[in-house]
Amino acid sequence: MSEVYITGIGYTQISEHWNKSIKQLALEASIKAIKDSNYLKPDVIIVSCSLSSFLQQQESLSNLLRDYLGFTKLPNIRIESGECSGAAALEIASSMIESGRYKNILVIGVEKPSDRLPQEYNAALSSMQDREYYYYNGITHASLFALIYKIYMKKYGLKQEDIASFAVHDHKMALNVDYAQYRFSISVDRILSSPIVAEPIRLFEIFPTSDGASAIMVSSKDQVENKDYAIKLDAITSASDINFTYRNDFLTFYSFHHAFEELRKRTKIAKSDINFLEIHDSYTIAAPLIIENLGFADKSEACRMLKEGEFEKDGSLPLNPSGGLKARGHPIGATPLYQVCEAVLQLRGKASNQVNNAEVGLVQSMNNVADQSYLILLRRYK
Amino acid sequence: MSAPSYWREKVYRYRLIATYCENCNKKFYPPRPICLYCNNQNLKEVKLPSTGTLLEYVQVFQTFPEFSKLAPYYLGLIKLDDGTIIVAQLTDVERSELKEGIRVEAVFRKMYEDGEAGLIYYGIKFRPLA
Repeated sequence: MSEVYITGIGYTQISEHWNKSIKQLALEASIKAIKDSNYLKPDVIIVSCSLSSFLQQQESLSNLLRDYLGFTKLPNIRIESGECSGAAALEIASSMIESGRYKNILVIGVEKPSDRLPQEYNAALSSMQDREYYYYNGITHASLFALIYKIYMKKYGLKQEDIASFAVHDHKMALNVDYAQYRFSISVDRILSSPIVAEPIRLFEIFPTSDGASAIMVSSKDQVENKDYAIKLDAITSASDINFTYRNDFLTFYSFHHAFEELRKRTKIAKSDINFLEIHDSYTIAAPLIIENLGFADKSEACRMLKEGEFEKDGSLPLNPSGGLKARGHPIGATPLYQVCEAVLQLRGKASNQVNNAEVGLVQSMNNVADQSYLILLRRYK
Repeated sequence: MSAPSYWREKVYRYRLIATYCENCNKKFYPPRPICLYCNNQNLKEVKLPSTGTLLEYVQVFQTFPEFSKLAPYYLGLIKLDDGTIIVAQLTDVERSELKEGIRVEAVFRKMYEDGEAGLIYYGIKFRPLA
């Protein structure tokens, strides 16, 4: 099986890009990634986008982007797996390289929600759940996390400010990140005085409406020219879980347990080998649950670790050096690829919040309430 | 919501109809044809009990266009008397009455409508048991 490397990355500023189309954003990121790979020619294009059929009423996005990129013959595929679409696209690209059939694959992630009104975007997000049931009953994306939020606080006797502090952390990290959406610091008081979206969740505890595109050139080992620049895509594992209401414990995310167990089997990785984490903290409450369910903290301990500075870039487990979903932003179909781009920058030693001597990074992605999970392990070239 | 989809789904939306796996003693709402635990395909349709206990609730302020006039509204995580857990809207309720553990019952209610001349959509909400 061929080893898989990331030979090029590209991404746009994350923002509300009123003056750019979904195609322009995707092209901008793709051209940067191709240039960054020193002009490797892709054999296949894989596009990750979750909501274009809702937001732009645009299907066949991969063939459209292939055309606009000026590749006349290339095979292309569009992948949709909700919020972890980008991770799914990367897993497929990685498998196609491993098979030996292709040498270079360009994976493009893009989302452009600012083309719609906030209510319409909320409706589009609900399409990632069983829409005939959830939408009909007015059960929003945020409301399930709100339920879990209350259950978590009660069970462990924590306050909302303990959990909201994860947004403070993300904002602090994003201050230095030039492509992040929200580059300003924020206080817990400010977060907890922002409007309520689904009680207890406040507006500033939620990912923003983010437009953005990120692209990654995935290559076989023989394509690697610069060993200091290429990053090894060591393993991608994924697992899923049953619908929220059928779980016997609302605070246990089995999809993480299964994905991590598979990762450990395949790579022999130990938690102590991992130098930094990029997680899918779509809501502040997601952060402690992800950290605890991955086993990086005992149950109820993540908030304490945050307080004690363990998630700082020089702490025991640097967390979201990119600013996370809260402050870097969450352009749905592009988010996992942004997370991987950040990990690549870290492992190249070129990140804005550089973790000292970063050798191994772990990216975690999920869809909804951990209904689907992905773990992506990246390493420096050896 | 398209009209064909509404007509197709209304059976369980009006009447809390679930499917039941005899092997696992589990019920599924909304109904599904295959058991999530043992893959049994011979599930039976059963009516769920219309009373239950409120496990947790949240108040929703930002929602879909169809529900925006209703907001803020409450959603409950409800354990029905047979153990089936569902999420549903709470209605006819004051904040002071809402507490973990209160008894609730299902009621037939309007969910939303497609403008003045469009379809009116109905479904099940829950209210505190008198």
